[in-house]
Amino acid sequence: MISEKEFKKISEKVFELSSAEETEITLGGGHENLTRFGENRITQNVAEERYEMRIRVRQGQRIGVATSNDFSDASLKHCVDEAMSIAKVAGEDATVLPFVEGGSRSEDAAWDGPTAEVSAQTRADWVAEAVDIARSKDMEVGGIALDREGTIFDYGEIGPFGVANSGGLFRYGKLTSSAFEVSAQKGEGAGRSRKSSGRVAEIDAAAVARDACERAEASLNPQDLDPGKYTVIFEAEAVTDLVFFMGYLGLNGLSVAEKRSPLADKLGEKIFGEKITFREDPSHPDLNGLTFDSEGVDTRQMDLVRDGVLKGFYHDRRTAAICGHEPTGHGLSQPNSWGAFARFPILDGGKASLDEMIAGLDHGVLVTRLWYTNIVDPMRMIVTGMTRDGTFLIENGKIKGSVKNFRFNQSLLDFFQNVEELGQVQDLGGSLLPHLRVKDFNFSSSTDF
Amino acid sequence: MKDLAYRALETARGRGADYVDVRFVHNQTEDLLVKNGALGSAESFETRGLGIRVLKDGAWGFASTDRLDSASIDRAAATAVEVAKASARVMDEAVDLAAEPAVKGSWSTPYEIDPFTVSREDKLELLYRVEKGLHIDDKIKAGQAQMLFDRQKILFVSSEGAELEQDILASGGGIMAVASDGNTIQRRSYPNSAGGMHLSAGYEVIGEYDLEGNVERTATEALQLLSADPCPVGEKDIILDWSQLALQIHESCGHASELDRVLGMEANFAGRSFLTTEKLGNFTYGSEHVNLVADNTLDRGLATRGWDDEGVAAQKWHVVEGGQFKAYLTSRELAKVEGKDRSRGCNRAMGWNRIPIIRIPNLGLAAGTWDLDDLIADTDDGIWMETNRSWSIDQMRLNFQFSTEMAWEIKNGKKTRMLRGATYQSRTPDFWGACDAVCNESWWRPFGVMNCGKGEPGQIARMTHGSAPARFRKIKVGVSE
Repeated sequence: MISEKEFKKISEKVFELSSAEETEITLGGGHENLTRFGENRITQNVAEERYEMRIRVRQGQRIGVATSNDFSDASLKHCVDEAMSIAKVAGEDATVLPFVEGGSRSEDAAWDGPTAEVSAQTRADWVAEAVDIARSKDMEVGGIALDREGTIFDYGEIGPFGVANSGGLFRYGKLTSSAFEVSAQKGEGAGRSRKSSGRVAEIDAAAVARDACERAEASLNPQDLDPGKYTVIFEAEAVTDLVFFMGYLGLNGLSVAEKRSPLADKLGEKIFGEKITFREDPSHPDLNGLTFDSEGVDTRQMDLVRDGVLKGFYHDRRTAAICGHEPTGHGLSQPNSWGAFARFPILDGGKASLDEMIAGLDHGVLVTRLWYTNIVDPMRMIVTGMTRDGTFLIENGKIKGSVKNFRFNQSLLDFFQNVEELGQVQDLGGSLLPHLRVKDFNFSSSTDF
Repeated sequence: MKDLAYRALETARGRGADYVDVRFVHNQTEDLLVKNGALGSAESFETRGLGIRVLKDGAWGFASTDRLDSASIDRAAATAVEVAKASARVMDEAVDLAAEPAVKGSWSTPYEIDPFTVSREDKLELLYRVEKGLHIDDKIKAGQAQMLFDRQKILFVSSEGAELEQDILASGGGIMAVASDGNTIQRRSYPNSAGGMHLSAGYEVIGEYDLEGNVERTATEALQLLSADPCPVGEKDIILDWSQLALQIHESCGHASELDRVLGMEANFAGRSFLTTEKLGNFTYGSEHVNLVADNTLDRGLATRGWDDEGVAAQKWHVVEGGQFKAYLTSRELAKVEGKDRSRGCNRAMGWNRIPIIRIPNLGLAAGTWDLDDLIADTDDGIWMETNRSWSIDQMRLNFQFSTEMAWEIKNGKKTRMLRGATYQSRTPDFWGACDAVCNESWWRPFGVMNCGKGEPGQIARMTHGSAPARFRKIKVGVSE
């Protein structure tokens, strides 16, 4: 990893090279190793190391940005010159703000030594365990074993682990993560399980594989069930997509600033059922991440929704200024057209286990995972998507059997108003969400499997 | 860089690799976006690096680095071999690559104007001007105008003796207006949604699109959609435009015919496919009017290039012919599963840092015989759907639901009223089986997809899906709540 000392040296060079009114450098990347398997064999095995610097300059109300992965002196100068040349021709933008003020701070609470040093052999051991378990049950498994140090994300996009600007702000953080995911298949039965954590010691590969295989076994021979409105128990994993879209469509400061959020004018109003409390907590020990955003703003502990009442939005500095709110430290690199997103999301839950929730339902459906969720109507927050990897009919408090997957078309405003019960919160590796029981969930069609 | 590429190759060979290929990629991107009069993005990206793929004892290893000094290259080559050794710990049978002539050659995207020679000032001046033009009413809440130019210079060398140099260029852009009256949000994009229209070509495409000439219409249609009637719920004959057909082809045929998906290699993420191997040459995918042709030699296709990222020359073939499922998308590793001794050349990587995987090629719906005006005149109770807005499909690529930005009701052969929120839902073989008309060659247009995600770690790929408008009978439309 590029160290804090090296980043400081690079940033000082950049500030010397720049004649802009203000200059910012963000640094991201690291190394990521991923072993992929399918058909009970390793099919792909990769190791990647890379770093990117992003230089942003401000000249009055004009901004220019240039990105490179070449840290030579010549490249630093080229990158600064590129950013300056863009700022020269960019139009003036009244919403451009002076860069963030702040002192120097570094952090390593999200970093774990053993996780930074997982070997390819260790990952192969995890896969071997999973394949042995699957073969013993006459199943086929696929999945990934992952370890990562730094901020290379899923599609290769790079987030910052260092932010510095010529005004004196300096943030640097160390971060690790690891994951093991298994998708098991037997005939038409499919099950998936995963564990991700900032600490590799928390990965129990055999437990993940057993869970996936048990789920696949349980979902064998799915039967037809008519689409329609059902009371549905969502495992916490299946709640992930719905919480994301609730944030993206409704709580994103940019949507609010542009009056595209149906919640834009509802601050202080009751928007969901009173059981719903949705918040951000960067200090939570189970939520691993750097506690500053892409501009170097410290991420706030905050309520988005408390007892069903709308309390706040995710804001970067720009959208906060437009809305007259405070920035919350959820911003992406500026400028961007995406807005601000959750970083340490928690939906508070209840005491019931999943089994207890099932036992308490006379007739309904259990959904374990959602897939390919997308927006149908942003103003009514209607999304569509599919169930996947195990959907079950519940009768008289018991799982009666597996059913074929459904397509849903569902308003998220209605969804969070219709929550009847919140179960125990689950650690999903990046978010803490409970199982939910929701009435009148709209399955609009079904599929062949 | 050639020296470093061969150094990596020899180091991996020296460490015991049985097969090695090395890709050095220099990537240059310019991303310009103006939104509501301000810069949404004005960014110059430049990255370079090297990826080393090896086979050792029949198992794959891959390592990449952007540290282009000898020691880092040696370390990455050694890592690739070590990773392959670990892969061999959980393998079935040794990877056996289909033969491909080891060629030395070069290929470049044909273009008229190099976009990186056009001044940024001129580009931004156009974007500011057209974006400003979108704000014709207070109900236009967001205007957006953008351009993206991307060049990949790829050097590929292999232990089989291939040495290939490619210079691949993509250019494009577009405009979008978002209108809202507080109750509904509607948007219109031109010439395509999701960032505009991109082709493998130069800056000349920006002039061809005539963004300025389409500003007023785009904004006006966004406003008209606010008061348009909602799409009815029921069964209708639908006619899809080029943009929507591009996504339809992409999601329901492209991904469904990726052989790695079919075999379960994507099961944990993107999913599997209903086009299982026993269906090859033995399955009615659609009606006789449905001919889906893969073509990595297509003029201006985003997947068009001399060779894929394992040195296989670009090819053209039918995936679906006369409605019958004929062929998969394959790599050198999986060609034999299809019963072929040569890959179809679909293995591509996002960049130097990621390993090639099977990606959708340029894949188009071959033209039929209808004139579009005649097709509309021939439709009694239908909907014309235009410009993709939203998409979702199950993991086997069967049940899908798409929506478009704009639609027109067709009654007794005439477009009667604009509709908003147009949505249709079907099941892949039922849908393509309901295709009874495809417009002729004069209506055929290539539409690019710039954001196809697949793989773990994830990779973004680009490809072009050409088509002429086509009609599908009795399709479920609208969303019942």
